[in-house]
Amino acid sequence: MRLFGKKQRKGPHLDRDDSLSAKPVLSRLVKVERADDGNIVLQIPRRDNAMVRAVSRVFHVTPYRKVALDQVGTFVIELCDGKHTVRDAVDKLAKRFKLNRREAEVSTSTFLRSLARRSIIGLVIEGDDGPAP
Amino acid sequence: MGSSRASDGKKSYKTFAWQGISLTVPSAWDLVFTKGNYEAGHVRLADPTSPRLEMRWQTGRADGSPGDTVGSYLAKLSKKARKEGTELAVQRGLKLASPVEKEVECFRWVAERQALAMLSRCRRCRRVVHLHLLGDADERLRGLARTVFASLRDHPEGETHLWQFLDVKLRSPVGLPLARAKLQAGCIRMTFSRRATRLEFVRASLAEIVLADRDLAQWFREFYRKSLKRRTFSVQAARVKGHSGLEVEGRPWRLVNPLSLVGRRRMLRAACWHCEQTNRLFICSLDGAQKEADLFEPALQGFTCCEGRREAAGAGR
Repeated sequence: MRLFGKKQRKGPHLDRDDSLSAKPVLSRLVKVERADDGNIVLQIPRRDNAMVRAVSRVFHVTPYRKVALDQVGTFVIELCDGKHTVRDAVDKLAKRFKLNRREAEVSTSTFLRSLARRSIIGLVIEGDDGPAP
Repeated sequence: MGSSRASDGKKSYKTFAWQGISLTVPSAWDLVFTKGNYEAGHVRLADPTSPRLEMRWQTGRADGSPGDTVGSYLAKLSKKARKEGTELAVQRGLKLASPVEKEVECFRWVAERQALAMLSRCRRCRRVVHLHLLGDADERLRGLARTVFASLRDHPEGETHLWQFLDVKLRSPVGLPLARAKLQAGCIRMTFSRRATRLEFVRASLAEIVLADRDLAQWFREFYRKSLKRRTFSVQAARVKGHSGLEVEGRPWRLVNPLSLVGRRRMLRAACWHCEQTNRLFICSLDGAQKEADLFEPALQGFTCCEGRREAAGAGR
């Protein structure tokens, strides 16, 4: 019986091959703009919960949170179009930045996992109806 | 199934070397797990889809013949399979390799996956190496197993250990054991040490991004901030291995190392360079007693950047 903490939501179980074949797609709620250096800045909407509302009464809170990406992040985000798979992104990243494939796979999957956890991207899995919003 | 699942001799191969053991493996296999030291340890190599090779070694302990060890290993495996309700088929006494100066036993087991394995014991160094080549139950692995098993070298031939993995190729002196291996995406750092002597190899990726807003000397000073603490040192621009680089020489402050006044001098030597072909930054450094300064040059020569890449491309053709 769970006494403390939130009940954890269970997502679909993906093995390594499924994960590499998934197609990442950027959430429609996230706005993309370019910085002066050509890198992408993501504007992520803040959650509308009690905590944010309480803080926004005292401080000025913008409705969007900005995340400035570096060159590698920009390269990967540009491939999150629902057409390229994670495997494509790994291969292209390894080729573009002359990385070892294993290095590219670890860094790409870690980055995409962190984006997915924040609902910035969804993953289209073959046979799936569509990405999470 | 990935293209790395080579079962014929036409695929490209490369050398994998770790803790004095070297093997020839398909090019798509890379290191994914390491544990242990020179005396005993375990590494795993995987292709882009699944684990392909497990290697365990033990030095100095040689109880019984390889046949006895294989027997007890297979007995444990069968017991485990029975508990899990898995059917296990075993074949022993396979003739897959007969390396010189080694007692070997080759065997195969098939369950949901299959493994072709070799247990070898070196007559010269008494090192026991257990290789497990993994594949799908219906995969043809024998040709590949013959190539991999026959290429096993379990002790260094000269005064240095070869280390070759994840496109890194370096040589360390035999008497200087690996103290720390930091294998991160983007930065690989191998530190060998004995008492106060420390030899370090660093390879950092994404050089064009790292050097976008600073030069090599600034990056080196930031990256090596801790190692350069409480030291007098000079950084000079130089050509290193045909690339633009830096040569660093230094010594601890006299207050930190008062024994230098009675002849026990310590020194720091390092070389740092930017290899444009591989888009990587390299550092080779030696921090230790003055009398061990001659370890530096061979270590620097043994740390390859783009030479290894050219060799690999040639082998793949």
